Amino acid sequence: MSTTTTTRRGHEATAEAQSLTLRRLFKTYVARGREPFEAVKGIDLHIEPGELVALLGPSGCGKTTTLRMIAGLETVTDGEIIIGDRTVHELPPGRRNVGVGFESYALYPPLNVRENLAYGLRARKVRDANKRVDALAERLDMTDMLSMRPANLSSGQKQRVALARALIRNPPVLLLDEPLSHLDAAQRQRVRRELKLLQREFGYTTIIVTHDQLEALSLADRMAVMDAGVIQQFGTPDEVFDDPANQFVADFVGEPKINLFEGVVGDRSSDDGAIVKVGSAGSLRTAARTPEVGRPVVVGLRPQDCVVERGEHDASNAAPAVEGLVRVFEHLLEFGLATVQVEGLDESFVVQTAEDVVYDRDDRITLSADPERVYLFDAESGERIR
Amino acid sequence: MATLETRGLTKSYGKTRGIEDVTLEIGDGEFFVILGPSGAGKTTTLKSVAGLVDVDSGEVTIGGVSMNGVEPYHRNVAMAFESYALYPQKTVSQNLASPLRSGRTGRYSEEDQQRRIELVTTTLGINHLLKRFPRELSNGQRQRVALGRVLVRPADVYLLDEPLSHLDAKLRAAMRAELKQLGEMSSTTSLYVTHDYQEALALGDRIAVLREGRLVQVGTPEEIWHRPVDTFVAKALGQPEINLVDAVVDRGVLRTQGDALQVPLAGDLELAPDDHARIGVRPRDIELSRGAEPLEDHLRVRATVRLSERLGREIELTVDAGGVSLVAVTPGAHVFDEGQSVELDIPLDHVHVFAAPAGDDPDADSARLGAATVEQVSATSGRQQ
Repeated sequence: MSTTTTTRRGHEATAEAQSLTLRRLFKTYVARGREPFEAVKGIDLHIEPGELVALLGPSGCGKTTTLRMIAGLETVTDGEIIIGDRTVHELPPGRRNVGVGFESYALYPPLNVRENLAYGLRARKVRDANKRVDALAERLDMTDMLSMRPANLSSGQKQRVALARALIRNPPVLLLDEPLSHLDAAQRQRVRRELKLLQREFGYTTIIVTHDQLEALSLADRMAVMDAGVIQQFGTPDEVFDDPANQFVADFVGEPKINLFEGVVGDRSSDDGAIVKVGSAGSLRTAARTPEVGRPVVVGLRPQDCVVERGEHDASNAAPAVEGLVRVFEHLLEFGLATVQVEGLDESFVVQTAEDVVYDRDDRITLSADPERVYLFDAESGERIR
Repeated sequence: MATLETRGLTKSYGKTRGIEDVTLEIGDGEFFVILGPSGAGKTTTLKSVAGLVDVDSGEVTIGGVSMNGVEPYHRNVAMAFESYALYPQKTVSQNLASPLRSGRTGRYSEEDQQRRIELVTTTLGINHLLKRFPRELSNGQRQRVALGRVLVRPADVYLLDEPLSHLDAKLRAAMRAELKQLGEMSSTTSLYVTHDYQEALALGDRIAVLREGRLVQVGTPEEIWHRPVDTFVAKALGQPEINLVDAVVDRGVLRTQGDALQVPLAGDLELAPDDHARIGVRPRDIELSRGAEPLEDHLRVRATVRLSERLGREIELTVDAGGVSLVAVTPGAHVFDEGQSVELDIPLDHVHVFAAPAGDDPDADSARLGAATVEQVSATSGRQQ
C-alpha cells in the first residue's frame, strides 16, 4: 500500500477528509434464466473533501447499490472508485477506509452498546478503544446508553448507536444508508441537525442515501437525484429545487408536489420568454426562450410559487394568468393549501397560500407566477426546455 | 346522521391503561379528529364507539340513544381500518357492494346499489377500477376502495382509523384534500383518528389531543394551535417542533441563560421573582429583523447561525443565542453562512410561557401559563382538564 491510512495514524487527530470519485460506474446483476439487470448505469460523480452529498431517489433507483459498491459490499461490474489518490474498488471493504452506517442497525444483540461501539476498534487492535467510545458517547449525548443491550433501546436510540459505530473509526469517508428512516418526525429533525453539525465539526466526506427529498435538501451540500440507475441531476439543493433538469427531478423534489399539466406554447412575444397556454382560457409567462410556437409541452409550477389573487382575471390587465375555482381549502395554520380546478385541465392544481388568508369552496381566484418559476418540459422526453 | 357522545370511557388492559375518562360531545355532522402518538388510546376510543371493545366503564350515545349493550352490527356506524380489509377474491365492485347486501340498513335493489357505488366511486376517482381485484391496485387505490366501502352505506357515524397512514407523503396530501371534500359533501358525523398533526388541522372541525389514554385538550384547530394547554400539545403540532427554553424571572423580566431572550411579564402571568418557567416559540414565528430599530411588541434576539438548511422555499436556521439553541424557519432563498450573526424578531403575542417542568426530568411536560402579552381569551375556549 502506498499510503498509510489515517485511522491508523492516531486516534486523537480527526481524519483528513478525502475526495471521492466515481468514474463510469456500472453494476449489472446477472441471474441464470433472467435478463441481466442493470442497477447502476455508468455514473460519474466527484465529491470534494469534507463535502456532504445526498444520493436521492425512489426505491430501485440504484442509490443503495452505488453506496454498497463504494463500501465494498458489492463488486463493481465496470468503472472506478477513487478515494483521495487511491483506487479502491478492488480492495476488500476493511482496507477502503470508509465508515458505514446502514438502515438496519446491524448491532450485535448480545453485546451492550459500549461493546458494540468498541468491537471494530478491538478487532483492529486500536489502543484506547474505551477512551474513544467514552469521548464519542459524550459528544453524542448517549453516555447513559453505554451499558444497555440493543434489545432495550428504542428504534431512535438504536439508530444513534448505529451512527456512532460508523463514526467511531473516525473515517475520512462516511457512508450512511437512510440513517434517519426509523425515527419519528421530531427525532428525525433533531438527529438530522446533530448529524450535520457533527459532519461540519469533524469534516468527514459524507454520502447519505435517502428517499426523503426534504432530508436531502436540508442536509446536503450537493445532491445527486437518481432514477433508473442514472444520475438525473447533480447540484446544490438550490440548483435542484430552482432549476430542475427534467420532469422527474421537478416531480420528485419538493413538497407539496409540483403541479404538472399540459400546455401549448403560444406567442413568443419578446426575447425574454414565451407565453404558454394553459387549460381552455388561461396562460402563463415563462422565462424559457427556446420553445417553438405551437409545441405541446408539460408545464411545471410549484404550489409555493403561485401568486394568488382573489376574484376574476382583470381583462384589462395584460399580464398572463390562469383562473380557477377553489375546490378544497385546507388551513394548516402555518400556511394554507388550496386545491383549485382550472377549466380545461384534468388535474386539479394545488396552491400554497399565506398563513393569514382563508378561502372558501367555490371562491374564484386568479393565478400567476414569476416567469423564472414556470418550467417547461418536453412532452415526450421530459427534458427541460430552457 | 346523529350526534355522538362518550361519557367517562375507561378501559384498561391488565395493568396497562388503555383510555381513562374519555368524555367527548360531537355535534351532528361534525368532523372530529383525535390526535395523539401511537399508544395514546386513539384506536381504543374508536373501537369503544364501534362496540368492538368492551369498556370497563362509561357510556357511548349515538343520536341520544345509549349504545350500552348494543351489538356493533346494530350501532349503525361504518368503520374504516388502517389496514384496508378488502376481500381479495372479490373485485372492487363486489367489495363495494357487500356492505349494501348485508341488509342491516335496509335492502337495496340492484339499481340502488349501482347508483350508490357509482356515486362513491366517481367521488373517489376509482370508477375505472371496478372490475379489478385488490391485488391489481396500488396502495393509494386500495385505500380509496377501503374508504369507498365505508362511504357507500349510509350510517349515523363514520369511524376512520388512520386511513391515510399507509400512503406516501405526496399521496397522503392529495387524499387528505379529497377526504375534506367528501366530509363537506356527506356531512355525516365523523370520528377520525390520526397521529399526523397536519391531517388533524386540515380535516378537523375540532381536535381532541390524547396522551396516555387521557384527553389533554379539545378545541378548534386555531385554539389548539394558538393556545395549547401544555407543552405536550404545543410539541404535538408543528414541524419543526416548538422551541422550549428555560428561563428565570429576574427584575420583572423572564430571562433565558445569557439574557438572549428577555420576555416582559404581562399582567396575567402569575410569576414571582426567581420563579422558573419555559418560553415557547414556534420556529415560523421567528422573523429575520428588517430594520435596525427593534419593532414594537417584538422581542429582538441577537444570535449566531450554526446551521442554515434549505427546505424547499423556506430556510431553516439553527441559531445560538447566548448559549440557547433556537430553530427558526423563514421564507426566502437567502442561505446564511454558518457563523454569521443575525438579528431576529419575535412578535410578543406569539411567545408562549409554560410552567417549569415539575420533578427532575427536564423534558417533562408542563402547563401553559399564558402569552407574553395580555390575551383576549374567548369565552368558548374548549379547554378541558
